[in-house]
Amino acid sequence: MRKGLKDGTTIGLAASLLGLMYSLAALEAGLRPLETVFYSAIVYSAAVQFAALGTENALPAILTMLSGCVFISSRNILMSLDMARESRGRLWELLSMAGLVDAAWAMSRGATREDFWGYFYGQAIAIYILWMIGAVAGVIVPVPDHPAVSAAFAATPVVFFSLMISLIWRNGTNKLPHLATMVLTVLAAKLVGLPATFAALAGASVAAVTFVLLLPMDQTEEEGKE
Amino acid sequence: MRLDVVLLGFALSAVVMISRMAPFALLSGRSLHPRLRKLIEIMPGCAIAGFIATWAIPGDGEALLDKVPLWLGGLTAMAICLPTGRLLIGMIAGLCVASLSSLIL
Repeated sequence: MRKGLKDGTTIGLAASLLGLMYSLAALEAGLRPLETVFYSAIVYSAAVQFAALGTENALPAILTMLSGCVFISSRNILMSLDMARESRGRLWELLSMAGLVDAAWAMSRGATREDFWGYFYGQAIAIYILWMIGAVAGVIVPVPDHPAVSAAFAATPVVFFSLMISLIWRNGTNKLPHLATMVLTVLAAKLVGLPATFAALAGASVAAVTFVLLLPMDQTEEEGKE
Repeated sequence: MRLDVVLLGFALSAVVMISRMAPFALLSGRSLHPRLRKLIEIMPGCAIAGFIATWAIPGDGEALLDKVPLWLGGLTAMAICLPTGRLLIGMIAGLCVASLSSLIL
């Protein structure tokens, strides 16, 4: 667990930047400081929180936004399914899924089987605490209004997720389906004209299913036994 | 806090927490076909790769040049993290490159 806390602190500092960025965007969208911190505390998903900013109070608008959030949360479903492979049937494991963010999942992929859950708990706690520190800092600390700062905030999600992909690749995962997903997503969004989130999920599904079907069965079984 | 904001927050939280906990509860302790297991293993990474692609391509009214700082920032972060595993340095360097290149371009 100690190693999880240490590694989680490193990635948590990056997550705190995301929390800070969300708070600034939320205040600009009209949320009050306490509401902004409340969202970060209970929703704890930067992508979903950003998607919900500026939603009108009309029911159709809320339902549209919620359905979009279901789409965005679909990767949580995939990460949760992947974590279930390591389950030993303890209630704490299920409850800890509340802290299953991309960073925690990507880093746990490289943890040893013996201390898998201790490592996950440690980093989930560290990431959540630092995320909240970033969110609170965003509502109380004045941030300079400069184009370079705005550009850094705009780049934060891409840089953060680039680090997540790097972590996954460092753990020995095959890069091919991920690269294929990027190409397919761009094609689906730009040539077919699908909405961005749907294009990403369609690209990911096609690339992953094709990769698994083309993978020799022997290799799949050997990896399954490990 | 406004009631509508609180209610919307709880609704969003429910969506996120169900997506995180329900699949785990359903699949925990079950044996799976090796191909399905492999699919579950690689799909989250594919979804993250897809989301990176959607953020890095220009949207309506945006030029390709507007997104170049994001690419440079992301690539810088990867160039540092892939060989060394250094996340924080990768994050800081990626953001610095992105912000500096946005000023230049």
